[in-house]
Amino acid sequence: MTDTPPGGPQESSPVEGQSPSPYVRWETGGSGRGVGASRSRLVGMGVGLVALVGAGVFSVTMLSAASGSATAEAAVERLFGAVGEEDVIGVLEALAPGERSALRPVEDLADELRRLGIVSDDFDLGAVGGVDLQFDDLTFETEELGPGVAAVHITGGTVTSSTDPQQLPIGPTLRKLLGHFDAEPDFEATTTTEDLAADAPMIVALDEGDGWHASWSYTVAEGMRREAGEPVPAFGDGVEAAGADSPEAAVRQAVEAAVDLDARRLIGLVSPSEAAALHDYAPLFLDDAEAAVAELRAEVPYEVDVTHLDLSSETDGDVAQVRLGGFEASGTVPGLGRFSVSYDGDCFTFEADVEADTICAGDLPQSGFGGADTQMVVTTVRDDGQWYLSPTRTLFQQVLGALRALDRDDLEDPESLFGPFFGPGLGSAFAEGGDFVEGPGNGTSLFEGTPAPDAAVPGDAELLGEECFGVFEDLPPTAGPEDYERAEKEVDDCLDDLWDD
Amino acid sequence: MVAVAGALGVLVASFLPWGRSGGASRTSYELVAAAGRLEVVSGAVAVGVRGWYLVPFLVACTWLAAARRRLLVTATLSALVGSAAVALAVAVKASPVGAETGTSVALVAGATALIGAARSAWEHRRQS
Repeated sequence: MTDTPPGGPQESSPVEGQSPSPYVRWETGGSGRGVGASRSRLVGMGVGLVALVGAGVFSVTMLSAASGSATAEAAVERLFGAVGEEDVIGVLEALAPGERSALRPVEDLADELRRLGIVSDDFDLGAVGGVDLQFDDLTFETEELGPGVAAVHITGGTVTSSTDPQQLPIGPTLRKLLGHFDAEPDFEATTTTEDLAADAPMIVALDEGDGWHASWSYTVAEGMRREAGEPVPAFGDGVEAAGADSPEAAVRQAVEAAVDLDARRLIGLVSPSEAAALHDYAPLFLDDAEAAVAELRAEVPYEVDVTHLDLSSETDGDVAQVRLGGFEASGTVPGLGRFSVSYDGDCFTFEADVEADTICAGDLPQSGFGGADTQMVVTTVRDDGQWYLSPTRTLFQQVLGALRALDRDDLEDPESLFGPFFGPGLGSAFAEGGDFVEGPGNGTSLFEGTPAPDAAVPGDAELLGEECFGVFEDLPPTAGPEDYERAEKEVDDCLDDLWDD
Repeated sequence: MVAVAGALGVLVASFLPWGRSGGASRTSYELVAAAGRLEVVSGAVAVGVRGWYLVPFLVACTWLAAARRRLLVTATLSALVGSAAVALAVAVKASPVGAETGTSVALVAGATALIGAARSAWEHRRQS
C-alpha cells in the first residue's frame, strides 16, 4: 500500500537531519504539484471535518436512543415481526425491560435441555426447527387504558403456521422416551392459515419513559380483567411496592406476610419491575381477598408464629439467591390444637397434640432427582435500592435445580427416576415391551402393563391402579364403543376412589 | 496509510451484518444496543461496549489526524479502533449469536488498523 495520508501527498519539507519519511518521498515535485497537494489536503481536512460532525451526531443519537418503539402499535408490530422471524433477541427487546430480564434464565434452561438430550444438540432458541410462523397484513387498533398503558387490538391479518415434525429439535433422550410409548411424532408436515381478526387478540403495551414495549404480564392481567368484567384500574395507583433492605429481609417479611395471610404486603414485596401488572391490577381483587381472609379468621381462629428463620444469601449484582437453612414455627389451629413444626435443613419435624412425625431427606424415595438441591431457594432482585421477590426467576431456578441434578441416564431409565414416587408399576410402564391398547371407535389409548424382562416386581407388572383396568379384560370380543365408554367410566370412578383412599 | 485504511475498514464493517438471530440480522450497533438492553453485559464492560458507538467519530478523528500528519495521534486512534473491532468481533463470534460477515471483515480491518498503528508509531519514533 502506498503511504499517502488522507488528502493527498504532503508538501512540507523533510526535517533537517532526519531521514525522509514516506510522506516526504512524495514532496519532491515542483511548486505546481505542491499547490495541488495543498488543495487535496484541504479537501481531505474538509471531508474529515464533515465526517467528524456526522459521526458525532451519530454517536450521540445512538447513545441517547430510546429502547422502545414510538407508539404502542409499533411496539406490538415489532413483537410480531420478531416472532415471525424467530428472532429471540428481537422478541426480548420488544418486551418491557422488567419482564425481559426475568426471562434471561431461559437460555440456561435451553442449555440444560440440550445437555439432557431432551432437545437436539443443535437446538437454537433463535431458530427453532420444524415450526414456522408468518404474519401478513396485520392491522391494529389502539385503545388507551391509562397513561402509558394501551391495549393494541389486532383487527386484521393472517398467521400462517407450518409444522414439520421431521425438523423438530427432538433430542435423543426424548426420542428414546417417545419410542418407549410408541409415540414418536409421525404426522405429516402441515401448513394452516388463520384469520387473526376472528379472535381479535389483544396485546397490552407500556411506555415507561423509554418508548413503548409489549407486556405479557399486563396482557394476561388485562385479559382476566375483561373476562371478570371489572373496571379499568388506576394505573400507577395500585399496591405500593415496599421492598426490604436486604435479600434475607425480603424473604423474612414475605414469610411473615404469608403466615398473616396479608396479601397486600405480599404483593408489595414482589418486584415492581417484573410484576408491575400485579401491583396495578391487585386492587381489583384485593378487597374481596381481604374480606375472605377476615371471614376465615373469624370462623377458624388460628395463631401461628415463626420463631426462627435461618436464611443466607448469595448476591450477584442485583440478583440474590436466598436459601432457607431452617425454621421453627408454632401455634394453635382448631382441630389440631397446639403444634410446632421445624426444619433444620435436612429433616422436617412436626409435633402436635394429636400426632408427631419426622421426615428427613434420606427417608424420601431415592430417585434420579436425589442429587437435586433440596434446600428451598428464593430469588430476589434489587429495584431502586430495595430488595424484592422475583417469582419468575424463582420458578426458573427451581426447574433448573431439578434439571441440573439429572443426567441422560436418569431420563433414559424412567424406572429409577419416577418409580420410587409412583411405585414399580409405573417403571414397568416405561420399560421396553409396554404396549398401547386402543379402544375401538373412540381412539382412546390405555396402557397394558406388560412386565419388563428385568422388572423388579415378582409376577405380573403391578401398574398403579391396575385393578381398575380389569374391567376391560371382562369386555366381550363383540364389545362396541358404548361398552368401552362405560368401562372407561368405571375405570375413572375406580381411580377416583383409589385417589381418595 | 495503512492505519487509516484499517480504521475505514472497521467503519465499513461496523455497518455490515454482525449477528443473526432467527431470520433477523443486526449490525454491530444494533447488537451492542441489544446486549445493553438485555443486560448481557453489565458494569464497566457495559460502559466499554457502549463506547463502540464512538467508532465512527474515532475513525473521523483518525482521518483528520492523518491529514494533519499527527503520526502519534493517528497511531493511538487507529490502535484504539482496531483493538475494539478485534475484541468485539471475537466476542460476537464466541457468543451464541450466529456471527455474520461483519465480524470477519472487522477482524481483518481491525488487524490492519493495528498494523497501521504500529507502523505509524514506528514512523513517529523515527522522525522524532
